[in-house]
Amino acid sequence: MHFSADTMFPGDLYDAASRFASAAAAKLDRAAERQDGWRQAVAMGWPALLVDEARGGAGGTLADLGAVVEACARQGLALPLVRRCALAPAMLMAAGGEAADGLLRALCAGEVDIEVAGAAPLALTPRPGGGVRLDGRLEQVDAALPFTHLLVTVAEHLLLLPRAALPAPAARYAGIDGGEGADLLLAGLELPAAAVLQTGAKARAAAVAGADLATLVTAIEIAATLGATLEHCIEHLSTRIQFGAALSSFQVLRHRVVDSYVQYESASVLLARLVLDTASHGRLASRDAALCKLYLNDLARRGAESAIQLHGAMGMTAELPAARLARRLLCAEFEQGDRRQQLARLQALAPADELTA
Amino acid sequence: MINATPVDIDYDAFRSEVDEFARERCPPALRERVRSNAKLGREDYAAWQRILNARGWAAPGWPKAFGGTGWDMRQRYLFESVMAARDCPPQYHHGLGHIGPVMLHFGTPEQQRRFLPGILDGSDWWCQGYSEPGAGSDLASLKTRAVRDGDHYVVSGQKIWTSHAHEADWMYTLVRTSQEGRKQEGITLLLIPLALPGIRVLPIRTIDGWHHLNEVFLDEVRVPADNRLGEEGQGWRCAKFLLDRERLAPAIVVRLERLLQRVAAQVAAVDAGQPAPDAAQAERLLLAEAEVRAARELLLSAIDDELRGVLRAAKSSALKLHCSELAQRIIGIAFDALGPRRAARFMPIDLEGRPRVAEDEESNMIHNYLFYRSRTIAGGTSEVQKNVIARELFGA
Repeated sequence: MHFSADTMFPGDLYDAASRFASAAAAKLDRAAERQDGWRQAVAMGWPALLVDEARGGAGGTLADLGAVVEACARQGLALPLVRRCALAPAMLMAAGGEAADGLLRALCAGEVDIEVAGAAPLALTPRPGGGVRLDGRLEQVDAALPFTHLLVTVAEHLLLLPRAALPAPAARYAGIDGGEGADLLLAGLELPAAAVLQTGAKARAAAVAGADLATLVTAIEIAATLGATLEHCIEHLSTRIQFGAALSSFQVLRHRVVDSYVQYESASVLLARLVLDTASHGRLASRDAALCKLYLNDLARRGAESAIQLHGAMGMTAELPAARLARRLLCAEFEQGDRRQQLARLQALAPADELTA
Repeated sequence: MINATPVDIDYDAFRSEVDEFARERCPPALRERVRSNAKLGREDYAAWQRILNARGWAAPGWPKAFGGTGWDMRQRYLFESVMAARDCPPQYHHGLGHIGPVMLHFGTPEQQRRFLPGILDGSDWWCQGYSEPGAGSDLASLKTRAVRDGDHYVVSGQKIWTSHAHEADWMYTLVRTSQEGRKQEGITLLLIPLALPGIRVLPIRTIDGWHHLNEVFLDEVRVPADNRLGEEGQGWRCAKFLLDRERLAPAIVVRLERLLQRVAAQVAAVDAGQPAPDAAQAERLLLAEAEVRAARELLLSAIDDELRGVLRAAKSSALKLHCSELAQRIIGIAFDALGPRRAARFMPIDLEGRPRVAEDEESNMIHNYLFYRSRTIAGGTSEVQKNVIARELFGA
């Protein structure tokens, strides 16, 4: 029996999500199956997992979401869990106010599907009556999956853009991991006052709360992907025969796998602890999230490159499961804050009082 | 996270008690030596051990019946955390951490009565006679010979890389008593007084400029048979027991936390004199901080697994590997900051033309940078650790 990485968030939810992910992952080469996977995720209530029960959510914990993200990541299932199940609800819960509350209820009822755009260099012009006008290029929107609304933060305004109001993509592209993105050219997009969910400090707070949570959840996704990548490498080296012996008999390859194993063990226990602490303290420290992501970004690159190398020429084939996971790692490194962005955040934040805090 | 802990222990109160003790009872001069990363010798360790012994805290890892504290792993972790945070010296490991527990397990009641008190009060100093010129990582190839002669063993051979032998009273020593069977089977563990006739201890000069390693030559040394620990031929079992037992020592992690703080302070001091801070150093410090936190969680997770009886050898070896390599990365950050002005000014030369060890904090960092090369060599090289882990990962 080959090695199996310890899971970070074991339990019933992890088991259920694993069963779903392993069935869905087999079909993910085509966009239609990805859409089907996301529909099922919505039907299982994952976008409402973190929302409190008073607003119709499941009242789940960060560990619950971690279990779902971990299970899907280990199967290489590319669903927008970070943005739609962590970032969007976290931003809306932190924003507060009637509009955000109503939207959360609609999200939990399955009436809306909310995508989130990254930081956008858009020009915002206030209009009489409280509305705004947007001009500029909205980049890297995941338009391949259906959504009803797009959340975006522009100049301390938390805005809700209805899908119907958005133009057709100005450009479409495929990511390293096979994901699909689009740039939208907004030319004088007029939004009514109702589209402005929050402004000023509350909009800032929503952006920070969302970013912190999404940063940590992306780090969890990276760690889970590293664990699965490790399993694939061990399986391959144990079964592939060269020079008359299994590759796993060569010390240089064994030691390289051990390096990946130590990295996975270290990262996974760190993240499990941070999730536990977040639950017990009732909040996630921005510095902790940024520090974890900085660390996992480093491991993601190393893990991806190592997995490709350990599979030899097979590692270069696009559909090899380990190569798919490696490509996912290479993308996740840049999602929710790359190395440079995390460093900037960490330098802007006060250092920890003490390392043991 | 540690789950399996008794509910009637107030850990916060325990931590406060230890903290108060450390602040009040550890001599400031000793704490300053630890804070500045100076090399500690027998006097330093023994002074602190006497104080701990008087408080009843001489042996945090031992059961109460043998003079230990009987603490659970969480208490041990808290104790070590406070000791590190307050710059108290680590406890000398050869007696308390190595041969002591082997005596608890394999020693006769008479041996326990004879040897344990001296370990607890710090009056007896032990060193480890394992490695030989031809038996390092491949320890079972050792050749030092012990021949039974009445009530004695007559021991001849050579040990090498013997830390602290120059200041020790005793050497627990693996010797070959038989050439029959597998090479692991003919090994016996003897407790040898270093004052016996026929023993010579010679220093080995090491790259770090400190004296800690030695060669020990044994020439027809007559060792009483009563000094044999365990049965004849059982020495390999004793050695393995020792290694297995020490794999979760909390000190290896908590001292890293303090080291990183000291290195960060050194880097900040160097940066203060530069036109712009070194962004690459700042990133390495942040990554090291994350890795230290990961090391702490890895330790706590391993302790939890141990308490539940499911600890994998791969995980404990991963902890050792992670910590030893991380320690090198951390001290390497200090070396980068201090190297430009200290690499060529490692040790001052006295009037007789001899390099001498200076004990300022910067010098200590450079000594430690070199000394820390041994972190991935001593106690099982990183390569040996990787072999252990790989065997479990690949199932062969």
